[in-house]
Amino acid sequence: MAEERETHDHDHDHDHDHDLTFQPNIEDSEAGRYELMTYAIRELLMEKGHLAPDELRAAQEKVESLQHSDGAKVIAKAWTDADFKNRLLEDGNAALAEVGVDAGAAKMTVVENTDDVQNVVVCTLCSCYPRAVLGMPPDWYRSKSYRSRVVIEPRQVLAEFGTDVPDDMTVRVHDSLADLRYLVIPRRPAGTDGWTEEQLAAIVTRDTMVGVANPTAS
Amino acid sequence: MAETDDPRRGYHDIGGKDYGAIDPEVTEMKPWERQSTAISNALGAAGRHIYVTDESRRAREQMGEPLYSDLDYYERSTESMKMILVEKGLFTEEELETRMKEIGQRMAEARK
Repeated sequence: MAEERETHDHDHDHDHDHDLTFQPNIEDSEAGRYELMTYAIRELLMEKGHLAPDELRAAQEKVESLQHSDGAKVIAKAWTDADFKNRLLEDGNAALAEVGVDAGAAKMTVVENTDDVQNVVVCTLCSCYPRAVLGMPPDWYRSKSYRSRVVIEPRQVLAEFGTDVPDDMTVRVHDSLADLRYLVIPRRPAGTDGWTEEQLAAIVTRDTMVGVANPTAS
Repeated sequence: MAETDDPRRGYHDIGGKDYGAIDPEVTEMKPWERQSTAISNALGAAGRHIYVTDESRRAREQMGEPLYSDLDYYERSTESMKMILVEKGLFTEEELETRMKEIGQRMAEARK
């Protein structure tokens, strides 16, 4: 925290000795500092008219609603509707809009895993992620370990996730940017013929749409 | 192979370096982290257009390596948002620090 005596200048209607003023433990940790900063930013923005309660409420609800099951439904549809899959590969944002997903301003590039190619997504510079279809990025996706290594030794990294890629299969690593996001269409596993979209969506996990894992029929 | 020790390279540009084993554990988002994200989104391109993605990137690249390395993901995004909002004059650092102290005291009172 900054110097108490410099910042502690608000009006008081009570007497107290600053040396005895209780300082919450929460200020001792970095996490506490940024939690307090978040609440202070919210209050100041609202007081000054830069943010209204209903705007924040709606934004909060939106963040809470984002989840990878939305992406899984899109993949299940792509697996059962070849025309839709082609539209996804052609223009991700437009195809997602068809099914009611607003992918935002960034370009959504959809790539397909085939028998010959395994696609993997990263953001080396930050942690850009297709939040509109996958929700918030998991810890490992945000980690410096994943960001730094997957572009240089993807097969090793995939092996650490328990995903072995045959030597004759190409691995393509896609590095995201603030203006460009990626979504992977995983390979549809054998043994899923005749499955409904709902059944298919249930086996499409978050990690399979980032490309570090592959779905299985079991 | 990328030149990993190029002095012209920004501290955020870590592709090709080696930060060791990947911890697969996934944690829940904390309430304040969700709130910080929501504020940022409400101010963003789809909302008030006060604080957009490119500005958030620039702040991360400007905060300096010590802070960038010390902070975790949501702390970094909150710091970036604060830097840009102060830069734009929406509030001052002093106002913010004062308010943080007040909120900390309020929270401590509430815990008693």
